[in-house]
Amino acid sequence: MYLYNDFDKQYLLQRIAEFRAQVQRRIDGVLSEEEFKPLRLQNGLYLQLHAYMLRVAIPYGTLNSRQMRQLTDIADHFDKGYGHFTTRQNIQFNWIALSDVADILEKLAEVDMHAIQTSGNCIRNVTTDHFAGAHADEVADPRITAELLRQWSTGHPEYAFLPRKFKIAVTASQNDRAVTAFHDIGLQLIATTAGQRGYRIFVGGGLGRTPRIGRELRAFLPEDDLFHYLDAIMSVYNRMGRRDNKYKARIKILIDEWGLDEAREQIEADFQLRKEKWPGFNKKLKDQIAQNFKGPDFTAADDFNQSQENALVSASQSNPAFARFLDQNITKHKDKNHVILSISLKAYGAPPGDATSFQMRVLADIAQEFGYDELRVSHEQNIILPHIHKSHLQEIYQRLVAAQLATANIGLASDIIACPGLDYCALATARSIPIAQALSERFEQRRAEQDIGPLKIKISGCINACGHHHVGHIGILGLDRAGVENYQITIGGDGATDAMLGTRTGPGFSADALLDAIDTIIDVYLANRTDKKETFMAFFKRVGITPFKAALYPEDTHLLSAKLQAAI
Amino acid sequence: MKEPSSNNSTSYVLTGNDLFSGDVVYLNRNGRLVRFLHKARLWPDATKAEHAQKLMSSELPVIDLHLIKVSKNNGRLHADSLREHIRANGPSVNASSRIYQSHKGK
Repeated sequence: MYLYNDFDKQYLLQRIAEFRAQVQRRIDGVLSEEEFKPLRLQNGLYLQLHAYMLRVAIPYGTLNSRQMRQLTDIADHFDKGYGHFTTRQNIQFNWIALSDVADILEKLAEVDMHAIQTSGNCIRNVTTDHFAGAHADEVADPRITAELLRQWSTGHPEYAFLPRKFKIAVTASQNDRAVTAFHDIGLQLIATTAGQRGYRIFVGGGLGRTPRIGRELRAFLPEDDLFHYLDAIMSVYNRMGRRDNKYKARIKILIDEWGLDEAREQIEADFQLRKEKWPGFNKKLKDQIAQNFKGPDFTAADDFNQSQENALVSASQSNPAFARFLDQNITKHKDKNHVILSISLKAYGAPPGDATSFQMRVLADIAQEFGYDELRVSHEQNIILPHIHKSHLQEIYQRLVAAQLATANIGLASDIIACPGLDYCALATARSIPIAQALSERFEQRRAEQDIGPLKIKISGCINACGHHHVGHIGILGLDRAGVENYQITIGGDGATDAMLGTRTGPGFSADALLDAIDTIIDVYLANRTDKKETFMAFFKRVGITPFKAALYPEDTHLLSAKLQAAI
Repeated sequence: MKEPSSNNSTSYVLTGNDLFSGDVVYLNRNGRLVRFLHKARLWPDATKAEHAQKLMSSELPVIDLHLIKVSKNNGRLHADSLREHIRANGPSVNASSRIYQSHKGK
């Protein structure tokens, strides 16, 4: 991972000193709340329903054990003993006092962490593939690009006051695990057949009240031109993005209003001017950064021999729970002796994405002892140990069981993404966490997750879609209807390579009726799939929304029966 | 000030977030901020409450002091809206507390 140098450390300390003074002026009444709000947001500090919330940046979701332990100290001393991992690979603390924030930022700085630009109208945390550097299907480690972007965007004076927040994601695989299609800028690192590296660039993706799939701006941009091009996009957006209406201020709206061709023309013209005037980013810096991401020397690890393989098989045969864990939570690593281990923060009945400080310490210990001291946060609110030698799996499993971190549900129905919702968030219109909890308990009781297969359920507590409901295979959006929570369902969303927005089923459901509605959707799938191999999404693509609507709203069945028959 | 005596009657209270802690607070009859809804000052008249809101917003260390509707039901004060109910009583997220409780002190 990237290692801070003296300049980075000094920058953080100066920033903290500046913010400490701003907090004091606020407390003393010298700054009004209106004056203070943009300052605190740029340092990641929100005011939510019950308390201040601090969003700590975890750059591209990567951290080490020392950083994780510091987060547990913060959770214990300044919060209520837990943290919440977010859909943008950050961590949030929900119960912070204003008077403690500068001290917390100093503790973060001790381990080269911060909360800069995790909020506000600026470029936010750059996110990437949580399997970066470990999966065989990537062109190169996308975190090198992500780190360059982080350094470019942090404290950039021209981009400190954008029309609205700006989110960038990077992938280096054809299997997009970074939801790039739904970011303001999505970058896909690719290589030509001649071996030249560059980027496929998408722009104008987003979720929220006007979801959009990002459109391809450039099929191929040589690597060396990246920052000329990004500066061109940002400059055009900064100048021309709307500032009269915050609901129409994202770049996706600009692209809508201009059309992609006009936007491309403006950006390309700006890009050409920049290329003429500026030699480009510091390649020496890039090479230095790349050194930080060389990754562990897997050749130095022992071979996972046949006897160990037999022992692992035997252990899984004698322990069905361990067998399920291996089936669901392990992904193949680029090195034959290692695996990528995904650890679910979706225990049945627990709030998705939350981890107690005890659990975080266990994860830190495991990472340090067995995982080359590296952890990742996925946008799906789980923790990844990207490099685990197969010989350690049994011991790690036992430790995870003891910490209630061994739920074998990665990618299954109870691996639910949910935003904090009305229980915490000042913007929310309905609760999301209790829905997620109730749903996961229903799946636990139903004992059919393995049979159902891959199913991504995503829940948002308002139209801002922080729970990514638009791209859930089943998406749930909580709204307020005359003071009562009402939940709309969408089906068929996908944030991965075949990006799709979910289709709304129809009228929403009360919280009580919602669980049965989800059961109904799953029953339709199970009763009508061709066989177990036809996944939920494949089934939806084959039959469309009609059979689901017919089942959910049976009073309309007589209108749909012919279509339903044709569809199935 | 005398509280409305009938059951299920609607009144108003002023609430906001404490500047220092961010805690949910309510204005009491002494013009101070308190943490519990049942200690809040009740106004039967929104206009008078709004007047107090204008006066007190700049006097007290509170953010976003605003009016909410409350009702008394069997002697207990309740916020009318779900959002204010959650603000008064804390997050409704509770099933997971078994994990939080079991890990406390570890």
